[in-house]
Amino acid sequence: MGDFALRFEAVTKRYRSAPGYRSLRHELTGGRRGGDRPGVRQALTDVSFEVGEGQAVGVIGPNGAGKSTALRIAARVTAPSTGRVRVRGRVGALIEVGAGIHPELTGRENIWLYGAILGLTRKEIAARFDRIVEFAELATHLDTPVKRYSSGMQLRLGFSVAAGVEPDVLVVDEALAVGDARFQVRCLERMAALVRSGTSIVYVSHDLASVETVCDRAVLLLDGRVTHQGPAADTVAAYLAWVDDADGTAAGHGDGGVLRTPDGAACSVFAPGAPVVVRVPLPDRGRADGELGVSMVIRDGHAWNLVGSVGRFPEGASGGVASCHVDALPLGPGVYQVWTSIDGAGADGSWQRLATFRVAAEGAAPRPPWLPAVAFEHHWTVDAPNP
Amino acid sequence: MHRRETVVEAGGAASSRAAAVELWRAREIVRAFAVRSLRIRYRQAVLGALWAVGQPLVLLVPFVLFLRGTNRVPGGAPYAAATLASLVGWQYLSSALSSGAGALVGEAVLVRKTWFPREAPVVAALGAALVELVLGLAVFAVAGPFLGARLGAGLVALPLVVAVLVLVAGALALPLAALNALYRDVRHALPFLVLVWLFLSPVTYPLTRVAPSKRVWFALANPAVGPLDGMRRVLAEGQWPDLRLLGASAASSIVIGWVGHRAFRRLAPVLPDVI
Repeated sequence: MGDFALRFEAVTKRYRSAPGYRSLRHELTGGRRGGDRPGVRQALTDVSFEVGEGQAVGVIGPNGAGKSTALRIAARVTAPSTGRVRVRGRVGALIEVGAGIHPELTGRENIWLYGAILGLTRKEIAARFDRIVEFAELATHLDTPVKRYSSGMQLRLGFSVAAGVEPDVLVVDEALAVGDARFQVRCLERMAALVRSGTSIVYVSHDLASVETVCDRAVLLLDGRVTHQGPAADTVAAYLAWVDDADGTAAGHGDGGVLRTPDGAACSVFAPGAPVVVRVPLPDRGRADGELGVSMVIRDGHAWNLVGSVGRFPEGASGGVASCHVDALPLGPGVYQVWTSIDGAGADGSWQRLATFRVAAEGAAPRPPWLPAVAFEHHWTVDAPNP
Repeated sequence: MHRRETVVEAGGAASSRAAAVELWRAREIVRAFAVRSLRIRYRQAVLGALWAVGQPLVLLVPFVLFLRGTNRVPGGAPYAAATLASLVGWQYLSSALSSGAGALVGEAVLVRKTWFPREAPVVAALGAALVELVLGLAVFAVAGPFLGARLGAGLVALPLVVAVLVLVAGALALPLAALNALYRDVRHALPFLVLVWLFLSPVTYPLTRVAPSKRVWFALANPAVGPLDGMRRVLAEGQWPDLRLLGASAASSIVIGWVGHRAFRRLAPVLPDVI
């Protein structure tokens, strides 16, 4: 156990974005230096993650974050500029609608061709042929050239072949969104079934709910870098937090280690009742002195202040960090934000969003929307009626 | 379960041996590409096979009309038979070279979105062209005796001659296929270059026009010389091929092929991004 099926090792990918700036001599003499030249776009930077055997890993992030590039490398379509990807076994890939499908060929011929591309023998393809056709629901169009298929039909064919050849690693891009709702449901079911039978899956999607459902783990890509990876729910939460922060001051900084565990590790997901340290950076006030007040509140998704505190420092302070030590987070599962305001000489007292975090309880049912998030010590009993 | 580990990394300049192993594992793909290109070629044109058969015969007419006079070999096979024999070989070279050089661009849809050894479509084109060669040989089997071809024991050396012919075509088709994907001017230059090559090769004229001492150098400089002369000897003259010329051509194409394949491997990783 613990074996990986696919592993990214410090993968960096640069694209030349200035066409026409290529000389044959440059290619042949190995023009791989000069990554900082203008006209070079860096799509991935030092990306490392691992997909275990029989594991489903989601790759999420905004458009242009490098998700598709990562998949193309995983599917061996394009090579990394530096670093490497190790893959164990056969890779089935659905990189986009129509990937691996030749428009001039019929559906039947495409199944044979793509099967061969994935490394199956004719016998192996023959054994899987009927199941692929059945899943794609294309029996009546099998001898029609694929160029006459609708994009939904092409998607069905592509997914059915990629999943139907029983790959060791299945790579699926957000192409699925093109299919009708019923087919999407069947795809997700099929993916879950593949995972149960030992296939590893790399799943890229904007549909965070499905990532959370299908995947055990997820990787968050921001601007070509892995900024978060871990259990799918946590990564989804981290992405949500980033989306929340994208318009705010924290954009691009992650949470900057505002929230930590008592032993000092930066953290954005806590269990209910867990201890948390909230670190508030203090403004540089020069030589000004006088009392400094640090206010901190935790808000929920409705922007309601749930809990809060004011730290008072009579001697004042300049620069540095004020830490609020919370012994037990009085919150149920959900996504929360930390807002702070600092008053005193040299500070303007405005409120700022400092961090977004998530409280998650292992195995807990989701909190009904009507139930307030603040937790309190209590228990329930029931008295039988007097006889 | 034993799963083969693949490493995807920069460079792609794997050893030729690794490339050969990879290609062997992908033989189903090669087969699929070859079958498909033949099917597409003959699906659209009812006369598809006839085209392959007719071309050498049609080319033969002007050659016989205008070039026979200066190229007769005293004591050799009649000009028409000798020329048809080398034309059949030439037809393979030119067809394999042009379809091989266009193979990667032809598979652009797949190259952009899937992985397979990039040599596969080129090798498949070399193989598919062999079908035309067989058709050409069938034409020769029928027309040759009428034109005065002489049968001889040398015929058993035909597979060897064909093997060198495939080697010559492959050595040039591989680098051209990759270059064609990067620089589409290759496609425009190729028909012209193939035409020039035809006249630089002993097709319309016998090798006796070249001084005996210079023939090996000729075969080294132009690897088509050995196998084309071989076709003429084996099919029309009933003689054994000149092994020195065949060897010189083979050696020359191995060098070209080795360099060409290295260039191919260098270019292969960037193809999906640019094709």
